Amino acid sequence: MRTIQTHTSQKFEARIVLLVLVLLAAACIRLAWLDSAPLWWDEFVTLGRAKMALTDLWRSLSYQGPSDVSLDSSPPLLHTVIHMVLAFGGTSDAWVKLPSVLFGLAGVLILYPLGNRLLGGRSGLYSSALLGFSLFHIHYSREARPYALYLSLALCSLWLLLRALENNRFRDWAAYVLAAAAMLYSSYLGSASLAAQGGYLLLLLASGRLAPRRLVPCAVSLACAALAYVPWLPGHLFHMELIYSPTGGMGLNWDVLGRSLKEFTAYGYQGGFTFTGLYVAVALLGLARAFSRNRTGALLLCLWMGLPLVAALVLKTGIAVNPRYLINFVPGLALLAGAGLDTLTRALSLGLPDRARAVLALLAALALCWPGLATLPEYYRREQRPISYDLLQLAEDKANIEALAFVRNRHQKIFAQWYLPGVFGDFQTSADLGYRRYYLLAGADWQPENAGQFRTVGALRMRAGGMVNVSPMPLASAYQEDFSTLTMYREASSWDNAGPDLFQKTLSLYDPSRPGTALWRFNAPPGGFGGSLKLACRFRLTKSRATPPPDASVTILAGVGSGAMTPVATLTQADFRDGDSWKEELSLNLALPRPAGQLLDLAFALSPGAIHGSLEPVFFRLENTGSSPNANTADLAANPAATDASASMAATLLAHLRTRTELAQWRPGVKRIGDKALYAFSLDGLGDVPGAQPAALLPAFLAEYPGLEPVEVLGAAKGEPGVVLYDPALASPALSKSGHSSQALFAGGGKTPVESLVLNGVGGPFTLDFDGARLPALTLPPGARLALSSGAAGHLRLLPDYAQGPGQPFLNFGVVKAPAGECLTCQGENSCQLVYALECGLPIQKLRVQYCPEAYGEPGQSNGVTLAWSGDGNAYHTLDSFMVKDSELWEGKHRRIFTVDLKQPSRRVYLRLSLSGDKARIWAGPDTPMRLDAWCDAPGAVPLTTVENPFPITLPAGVEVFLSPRLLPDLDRLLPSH
Amino acid sequence: MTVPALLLCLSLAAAPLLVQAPLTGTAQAQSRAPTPSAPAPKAAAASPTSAVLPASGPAVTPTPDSPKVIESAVAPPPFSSLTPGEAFLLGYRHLTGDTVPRDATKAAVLFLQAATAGEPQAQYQLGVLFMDGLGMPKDPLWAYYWLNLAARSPGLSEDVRAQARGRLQSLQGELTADQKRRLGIK
Repeated sequence: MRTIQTHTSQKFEARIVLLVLVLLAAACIRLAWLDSAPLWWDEFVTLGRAKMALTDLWRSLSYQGPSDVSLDSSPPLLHTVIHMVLAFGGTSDAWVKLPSVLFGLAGVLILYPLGNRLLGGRSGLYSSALLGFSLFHIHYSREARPYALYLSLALCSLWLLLRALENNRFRDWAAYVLAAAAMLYSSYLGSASLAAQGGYLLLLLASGRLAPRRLVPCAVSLACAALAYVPWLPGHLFHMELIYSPTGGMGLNWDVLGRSLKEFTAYGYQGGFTFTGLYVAVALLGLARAFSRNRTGALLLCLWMGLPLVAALVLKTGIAVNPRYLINFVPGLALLAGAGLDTLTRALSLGLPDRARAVLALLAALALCWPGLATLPEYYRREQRPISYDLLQLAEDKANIEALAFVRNRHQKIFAQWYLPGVFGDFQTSADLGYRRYYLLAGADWQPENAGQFRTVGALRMRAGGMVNVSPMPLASAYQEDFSTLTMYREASSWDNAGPDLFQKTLSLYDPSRPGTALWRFNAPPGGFGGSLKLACRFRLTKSRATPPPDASVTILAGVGSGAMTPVATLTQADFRDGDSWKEELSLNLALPRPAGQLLDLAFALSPGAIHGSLEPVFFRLENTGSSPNANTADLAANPAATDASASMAATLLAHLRTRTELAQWRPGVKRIGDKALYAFSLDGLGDVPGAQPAALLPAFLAEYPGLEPVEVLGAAKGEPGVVLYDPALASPALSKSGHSSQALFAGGGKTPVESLVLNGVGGPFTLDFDGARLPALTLPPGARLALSSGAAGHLRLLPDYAQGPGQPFLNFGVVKAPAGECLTCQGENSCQLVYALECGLPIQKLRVQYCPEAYGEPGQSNGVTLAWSGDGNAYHTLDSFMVKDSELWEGKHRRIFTVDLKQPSRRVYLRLSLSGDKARIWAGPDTPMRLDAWCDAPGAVPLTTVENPFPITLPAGVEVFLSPRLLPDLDRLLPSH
Repeated sequence: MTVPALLLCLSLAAAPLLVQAPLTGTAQAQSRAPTPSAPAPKAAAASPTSAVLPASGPAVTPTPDSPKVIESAVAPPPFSSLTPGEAFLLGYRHLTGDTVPRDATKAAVLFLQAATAGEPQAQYQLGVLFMDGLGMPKDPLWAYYWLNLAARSPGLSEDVRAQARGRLQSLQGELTADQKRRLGIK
């Protein structure tokens, strides 16, 4: 084996200076606008694991269970690192991505000594530059996924292996073992890398180049690295088993290989293979030099690059090969191309001084990477419809919705907790048993059947609902719960860290790392609990395929309403048959002691145990065998509240309800706003229920709110008197001209300050009076939303949508809908303009424009879109000019974001979009969102002075207003800055 | 020249083919005042010249995407209750800041509304706005188009038409060959 080291100290210093410059440039590129692209799904999977406790994090990665984030096909090292980074308090996307940036830079740095050692000359320097400027590497250095970490550790282990072989010192071998083991824990690609290193050592041995005194440390080091991986081996095997497909292959072919090579060398470039060919040609030159000067080093490099390729050819899996599985090629090609550049500069630079030659080679490296680098401005602005957009829209439009419920105990919960902390409450605990308005949130992949109409917001689906809690439940003959709906929140008396997972149909832990409890309290029927109480339960054990069965447990407890609970039974994995199935169910029948009093408590206490897994109730049925034999248990299951045969049952439930939430008296023509009051009406036919308004009023009420669906019906089964509960403010939280009310009742009576208000629509200037409190004269451009909140700047927002055409801008000169999709263009080849007037009646201080221009690169002709703003309508200031020429491609269609701080606040700001002709477009649709935001000074607008109840209100046509006694959430942080 | 240098040159030469560097912005709105014609008398506002777009004449041969397109592509004007004459007068007040805040963009909206309805003074003013880049982006093609319509309108005073002709003459030098082709002029 031979390594090449022929540097003078002067040359060394020059190299270091150049290397530092390369690193600085690489750092700037990787750190720039790091939060411009919000986290996407795979990164959230990483984040979800990283937020767990370290022990749970480790175990959860070799486990596919129902009650946590979805499967993550990576060993735990990156998650652990991010876990520690988050411990410093970081809560932004940039914090989550920062480790990858640092590992990416580490990879660039390590390539320097590795290149020098393997290939000699200035190869290391040029290789570092090629990797530092590789857009493919830049991309994976800005993602919270393990590729940058893996590459840095793999390169580090290669370098340390060469050092150890050369020096044969203990500390070098120890460092190698550490790096190799860490590499194995960073990615499953690590095993191929270790195999390549082992193969290299075997080659050395076979060729007699491995001195006998190095043989033992080699073998021991490899063995130590492999042994260090043993604790994770079950997880590794679990994932291999998961992806194994006896008939499958990874689909590696020449086409994929060519595409991968193009991504590695010219990521983002839309043209042909010219630059890839150039890069590969230089790399081949480097390979020739490597073989001529350091054959074993060249073999090591080839093995390291080639083994993942071989793996992709021979592995039988159900997953298709992706260029990132061959990511070893990225630094590998950079190393070879670095050697090629070194060869070229040495051979052809004639009389140039050494340093000038190095600078020239670095510039050539930059030129080789230029196809990718040139797309950086667009890369930073790439749009991928992140979940944060959907959550932002959800939060902006939430009005009086206060809580989020989730159809499954993962996915959207993690998104919402990350992006909307404090914006919504949740159902994690039963601290508030009062009436709550909520969104039930589902993803695009699954939504529960028969759960009503879901509305789509980007990649989310959601349904608004109102939740009342009617516990304690009357128990006449039977009660059952199967966790397929949200009825637990309606009927359980208390819960903590437990709730229904509608997808798995289990009672699951909200936070899988903590214990949880759910408690149901039952009222005895008249005459008390008779006979015996039978409890039938079913439980599901979900086992990991890679770790021992979970030692989670469920304890069933019973009590008599005094607070003290007695364990009745405890289930662990030992109670299940030790079958091969990873999901097993067990039924359990118990006889509960009959309570002497009128109350019975039944609780399930879930313990996550020391090993992450799940043991969860899927069903329970409590039967009071002493009840009437005529009870229809099917009906009871559908409406357990119907178990009480007495006429006062509905009244009893209503009385419980009244202790938790306000039941308001409906007054014709008066709309209640800003509170959570419910209207309770007796159902017609069987007499009025005390506490509810007479049934005779119901038709008039429904005439005032046509089509209104009830939130809850109490005690209406079997033809008994019942109560129906309505919440008009759930269906229509805002006041509007088209509404029925000329008077409003705010926040339940008395004087309550209006802390915030939101106006939607078009109109103005107009004023709004609230019982003597008057807003400044306001104006709303068409489709605008104006939010005013106490202590915050007013926020005006327009979300243009070009699906149907330009809408109603202030000025439209020749702009029409383009047939290409949700975009506008000029009707002919001449220029056209669109002007939006942003005004709300208050001085505008700041602007933000997000838009997506696109233009065709016509030979000899510049096409594009120019964005300009004006604070007075006379002088326009250009914000952006997106122009393309000659490329013969449609370019752009990436978001461009600009903000302006107005030195002189203006009551009206114009935004002008000038299109060069019909070869230019502006997009505004679901995948290319356009947004115009303005922040205005609203001193004294809110809080309004308190309002008397009820108060008259007059709204201009086309305007609706939502009033709230609470502040609006600050959502500006969710707006991307670039 | 060395090979790396060649490589560099090749790459840099090809770079514009890949991604275009943004051009500098279009011309900024000029602050110099337009050359307005005299405000139309009330009679003119009440009965504006009934020139119908597209204009026919030797100077301008309307191309498929010029006048008719404007007519069909313009959204319902925000001041639709005004007659063309009223729209012009209000626009002129906004242009000059006469008892209302000076606002060339609002003036352009009003002039556009009146001009597309055939009001020659509005056509003239709109041409001036396009020529000077005031309220509208500077665009010699559209300036020429509107000024040409105004210059040929018998409803406009000879003084103003003369001004229009003068502006047209100076615009001739600014138009590119392609723009002249689009306008149908030599």
